[in-house]
Amino acid sequence: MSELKVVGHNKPRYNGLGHVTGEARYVDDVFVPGTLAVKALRSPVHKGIIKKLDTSRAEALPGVHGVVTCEDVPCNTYGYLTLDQCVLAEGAVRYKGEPIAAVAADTVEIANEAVGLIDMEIEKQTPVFDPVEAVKPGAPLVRPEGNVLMVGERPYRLVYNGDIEAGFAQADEIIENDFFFPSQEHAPIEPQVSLAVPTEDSRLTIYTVTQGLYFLLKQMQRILGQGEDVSERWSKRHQYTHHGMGFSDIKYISCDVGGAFGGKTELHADAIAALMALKTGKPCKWRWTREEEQLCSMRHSPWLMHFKDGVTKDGRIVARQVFTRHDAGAYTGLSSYVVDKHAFYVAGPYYLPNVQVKCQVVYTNKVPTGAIRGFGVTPGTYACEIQMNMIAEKMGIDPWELRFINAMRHHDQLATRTKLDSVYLIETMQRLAEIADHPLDEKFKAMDSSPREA
Amino acid sequence: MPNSDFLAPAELEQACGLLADPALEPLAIAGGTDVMVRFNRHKRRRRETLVFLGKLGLDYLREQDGQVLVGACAPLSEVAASPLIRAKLPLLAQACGEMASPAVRNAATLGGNVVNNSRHADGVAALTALDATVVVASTRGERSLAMAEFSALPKKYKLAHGGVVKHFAVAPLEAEEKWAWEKLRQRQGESRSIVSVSMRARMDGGKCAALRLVIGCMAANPFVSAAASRLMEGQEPSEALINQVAQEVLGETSAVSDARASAWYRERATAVLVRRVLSQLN
Amino acid sequence: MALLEIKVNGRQYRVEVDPWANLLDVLREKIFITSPKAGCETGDCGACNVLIDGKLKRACLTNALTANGSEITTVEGVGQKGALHPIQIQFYENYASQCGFCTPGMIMASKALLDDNPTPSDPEIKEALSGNLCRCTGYVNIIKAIKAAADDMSGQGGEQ
Repeated sequence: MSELKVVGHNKPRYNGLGHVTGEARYVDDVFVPGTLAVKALRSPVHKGIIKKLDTSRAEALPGVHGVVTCEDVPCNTYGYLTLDQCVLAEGAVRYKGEPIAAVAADTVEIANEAVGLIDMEIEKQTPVFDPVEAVKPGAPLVRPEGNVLMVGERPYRLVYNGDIEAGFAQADEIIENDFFFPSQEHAPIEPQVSLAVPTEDSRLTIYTVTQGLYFLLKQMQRILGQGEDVSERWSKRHQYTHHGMGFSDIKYISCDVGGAFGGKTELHADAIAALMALKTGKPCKWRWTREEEQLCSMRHSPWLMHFKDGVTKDGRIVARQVFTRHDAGAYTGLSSYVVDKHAFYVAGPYYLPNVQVKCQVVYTNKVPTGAIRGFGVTPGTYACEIQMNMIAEKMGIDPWELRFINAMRHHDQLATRTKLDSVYLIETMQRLAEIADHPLDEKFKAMDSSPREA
Repeated sequence: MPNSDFLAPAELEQACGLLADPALEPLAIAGGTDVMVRFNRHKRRRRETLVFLGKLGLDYLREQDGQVLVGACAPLSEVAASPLIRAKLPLLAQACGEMASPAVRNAATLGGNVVNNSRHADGVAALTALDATVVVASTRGERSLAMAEFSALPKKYKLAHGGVVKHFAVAPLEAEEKWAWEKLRQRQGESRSIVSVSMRARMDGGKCAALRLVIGCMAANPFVSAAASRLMEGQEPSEALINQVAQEVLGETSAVSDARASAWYRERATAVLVRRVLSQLN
Repeated sequence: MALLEIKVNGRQYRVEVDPWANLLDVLREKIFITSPKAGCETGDCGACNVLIDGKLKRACLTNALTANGSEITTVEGVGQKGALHPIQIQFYENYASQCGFCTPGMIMASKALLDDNPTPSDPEIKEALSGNLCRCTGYVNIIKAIKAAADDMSGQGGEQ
């Protein structure tokens, strides 16, 4: 066996020297001569209809090179799985901070002044912020299709195994609890920033902070031209045949990223910086302020989870029912994806002969939510494990023992009925007890993950 | 086009003259740790003439005629580290050393702190507890006001006629005087105070002869608790009396709820800090 | 516009600046010294820390013209590849950076600390770095790196 050169050795960070010498290059450290500063007009209201949007005074301010509204976007709707989000608000705004227009000017100061010169009238409407309120009949509509995302015929993702009611009937105790996992803003020290540079052959180079180059490249390509519904208005207005920008027309360059934690998986600054570059023919940089980062960038959603477990006297969970509400904010984003992931795992690594999980995406008039480290799984694990401890307390059983009793073994099924080949949870807990100096009863020391008898 | 300018006068009289000229739209700047935050939060081309106070030599820390003179433009870190201030005005040294963060303290000044009309100003609270006199220079000469009086002035009168805070004059702490500075904040650094309680007191044979107990961040300005002076002066600082003061102080003001703390929490925290501070009279 | 004359990392510069300009924007956008970062522009995160005449200050809160005639030090002036300062070496070797965005500010605060106090205690290190935020590392390795640098530097008789 040859000597391992990497595994088992301390290796310095590949870009660590750049960090300590200042040579590391983040998007805002890239300078291209003639770069314009971009600033956006954002919705001051949580929900409303745009009655008037007149950019003429902004366009006339000396030092302004261009202004964009939804009229300037080849394809204004985008998204991950549901194409419902607008690059620039079109008619209606659904959250405070939603971009409505953008300006590119010689300096940040002039760009800010120009944004102040955009004449806008918005008719305020009644917003809804609480997902529990949003699902009630008569709640203000966040989107025309309703405040809940349908999964086929159902208003939730359903994952189940066995018969939940039969399971409850077998139980000696029913233990029900509610769990709340609050929203989190990633707050990286580097805010969102994007530099878009038009290059020869009508192509575009974009320096981006994104964590997901290919996710966003697909969205950008749709927005900038080859989307299925390229705006007819846009084509007419520009009086030439627009072939649209394909993958080969957009060069996405990822620089060093100043922290993300999931918060740089949305378009944020890229699409609008790109539009400004195309509109003005000049490099355009949009650096969000700390306020924009904290108030307007995608954040991790809040989760409301309800656990109802049926437990026998000897500590076996014979039925587990979970209902989760996930607050998507104003647009879908990755919410439909994450509730699935959550649904697959929230019931925990436990043998549950009867399990039913329902996960619902709810829309509210808040900043759209999205990815964070542990996306969908961490909130579920938190709720599940606290629920286990609460069961242990209620039943008078040691929390370790409760977990040994209910631990999955080889060939057990997840709530999705996926059969797991090898599990080793029991062995892991035994080793953990050893390291933590936690005494275990002999019968738990003797357990192993051998498949359950049929 | 805006007509902004940057001037760095070398003489105080000249600075006052500039600040008194409305045609310039003058704005005084010293360390810049408040002015630049305002500028940065919404960057735009500006019309103001910035009048930089850094060349006026107002950063002295010295004793004169039995008073300690704290230059309004001395950086907080220098006030905190000064052997003179630590010896004669330890309350001020501690208060300055706990404000903001190390880098900000190297630029921020007490002058800036007292003219910004912030409810949270620790400098104002500490100087009020010390019963400092604020000396302000203007085109009409110099005037002196008690710190509490100065902070109660409406903003436009604080620095009328090109006013520049020159220094704070404080009687140095004497042997029979006790002092304390306590404040509560969310983090050890970079966190505006939730509430501050400070005192300067004179003891006489186990009894409290004179007491200035100052509560900060509860009201629009730090205030001297009349109840504390009324109850404690002439008395021994017993636990029962201290508890009574802690309760009566809350009756002198109504607490504010903000991003850092609710009014409910502030009230309870104030009572705790009052007890802690007054316990140091023993 | 007014003329600003500053020395940065030993080199003299003369640039035209707006009266309201902050030093961070001037360093980054006029002189293209990009190690001080814009993390908040309100003086809270510490990513813009520089030394001005040897004192640690926030470049974002420093009106550029108030620093006229000053000597500014940034990370580029602390050390370079091939001639790294012990603080830089120890940050690198102790994994004191992950995304690296807070690192220049951390290094400047560390330099200010060790210039003033070559043998700081743990509480003194934490106090000195109390104006620097890091969202990645959890600070433990940063403190470790500073201690290692202090040991390193006092081993050399505090020459650096």
